[in-house]
Amino acid sequence: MTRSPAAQLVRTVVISAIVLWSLAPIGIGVATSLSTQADVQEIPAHWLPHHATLDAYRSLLGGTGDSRAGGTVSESGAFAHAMWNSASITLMSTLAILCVAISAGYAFARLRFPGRGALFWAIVATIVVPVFTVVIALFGLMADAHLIDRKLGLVLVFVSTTTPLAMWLVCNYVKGLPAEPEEAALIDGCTRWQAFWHVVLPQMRSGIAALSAIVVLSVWGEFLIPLLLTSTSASKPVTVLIPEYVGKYTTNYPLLAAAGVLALLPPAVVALVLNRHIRGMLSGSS
Amino acid sequence: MTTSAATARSGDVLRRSADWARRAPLLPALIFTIVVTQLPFVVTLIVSFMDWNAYYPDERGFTGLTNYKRVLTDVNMRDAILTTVLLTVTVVLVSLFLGLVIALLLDRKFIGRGAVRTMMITPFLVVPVAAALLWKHALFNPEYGLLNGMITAVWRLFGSDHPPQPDWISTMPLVSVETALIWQWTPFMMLILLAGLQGRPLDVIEAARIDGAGSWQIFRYMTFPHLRQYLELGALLGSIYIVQNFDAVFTITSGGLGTANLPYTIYQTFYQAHDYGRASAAGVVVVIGTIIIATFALRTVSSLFREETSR
Repeated sequence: MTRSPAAQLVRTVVISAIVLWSLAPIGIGVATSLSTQADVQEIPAHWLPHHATLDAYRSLLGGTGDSRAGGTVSESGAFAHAMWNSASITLMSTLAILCVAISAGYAFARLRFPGRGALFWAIVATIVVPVFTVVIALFGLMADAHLIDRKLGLVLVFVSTTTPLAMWLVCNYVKGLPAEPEEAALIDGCTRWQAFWHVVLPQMRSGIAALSAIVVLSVWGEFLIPLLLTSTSASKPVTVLIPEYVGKYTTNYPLLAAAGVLALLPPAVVALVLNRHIRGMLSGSS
Repeated sequence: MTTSAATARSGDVLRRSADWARRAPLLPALIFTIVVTQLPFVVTLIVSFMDWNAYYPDERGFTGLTNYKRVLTDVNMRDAILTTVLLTVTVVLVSLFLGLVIALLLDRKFIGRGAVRTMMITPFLVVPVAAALLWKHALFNPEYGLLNGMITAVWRLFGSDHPPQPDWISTMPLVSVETALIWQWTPFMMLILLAGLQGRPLDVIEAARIDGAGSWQIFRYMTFPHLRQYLELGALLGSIYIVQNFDAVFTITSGGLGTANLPYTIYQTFYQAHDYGRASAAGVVVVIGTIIIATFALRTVSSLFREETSR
């Protein structure tokens, strides 16, 4: 395909504009996190900080209640603890969701058992049930089980809300795999479980990688459920802590921005590592 | 004949128990999935028929359809439904359209394509609540936000000292929320559509080009029908998530200025009015509405596409 230089130029300009639209807000966030409060509030607004500083990160991670935080108090170690909560909740939820979704999805794709169709639809239908419609019931159930403000409670809820979609994706994925290798293994005397473990799972490697990325992203970003189910630093994840840095009268913008940047890092690392697989999963999932 | 039926039956029983023995290892996962996914909605259904307000714990009991009557006649609830539909439809359509344009642009080979694609995904990785805060404080802020900063810069360029400095969130609250969400969801749509574009049969397209089909014709009659299922998938997943959006409304406008959508309204009924029964009834109404709308929308969309392709 030959293209005229003019068309080439137009395309370059359009692509640059698109990249700018995607990245400028994040760039501003990073620049803000490296500024001082006075720098941010200067009028007219400017793009880059006059004096780049890591103060915001320092007070966020080290903790300070002094004037550097601009009125909003950052309790010592609160942010680091929230990051730890988010990480452990995400890790536990992802492991549990993967175990349940992969085995259930495989069962629905390959096994015949009574009530299979009805059960499958009962579970998949809950994908369409918005989480906010069941929060009261969830709150009640969690309160009865004494799981309010505990990480285990959040993990259970995330397993409940994310498994149906994950299971549906796994089921479609398994249906797309050739059945012959497993059948050969079964005929050769493998049990169903051995065939699943030694033959099917290795074939699903990239699908599982993509699924993990999707699950990690959605669990890490959860906000409404932890907002309702957590109350102290014992279980509060970073998503619930960040909005608390918005003060009633003044907001420490660098601190807020630094918190946002740090919260972006774990999902970004996961996405970068699994980038290739995510695209593969999406093209195979329809 | 009776004996053969009897042996067949006992054989059935034997086979069935053997089947169950083989399935047994996968059963716990299945049972767990069923309990964990169905329980919350079943409890919601029960609570929706109850008079249960945390302020009056003694009056707890079943009241029949009272909650539903109150939900369906509540003006706030009707506004919230309208807002939710408007928000979801706008965000899904605009981000699908932008995602399609970007995917088509990035599908062609050019230097640095991989890097550009990777960078394009970043907005989707930002924690939703942080993204909403970013838009509220770093972009929409009337005094030191990026948007008004840019307006000032452009006005300076033309020698004006009095650039307009609109307060975006209070003048166009819903558009502000939608913009932040579109920014975050466009990369997701782009990813799905890029995956779709890569599955195109390139040889057929090349043949069409040799036969004299123009770029627009190729897009209209080959690429677009091929992308149909990917567009549907994007619309479906996008709608599921954006109908539930709470973070952006909660952080950008706090549900004020006519932006209170259903999640926010139910949150308020729960958190401020402590009326569990009514909030649950609202939830059930939403689920029924979603199922009806989703069924109709999917049927209409796929019948439209069927006409397109059969033409």
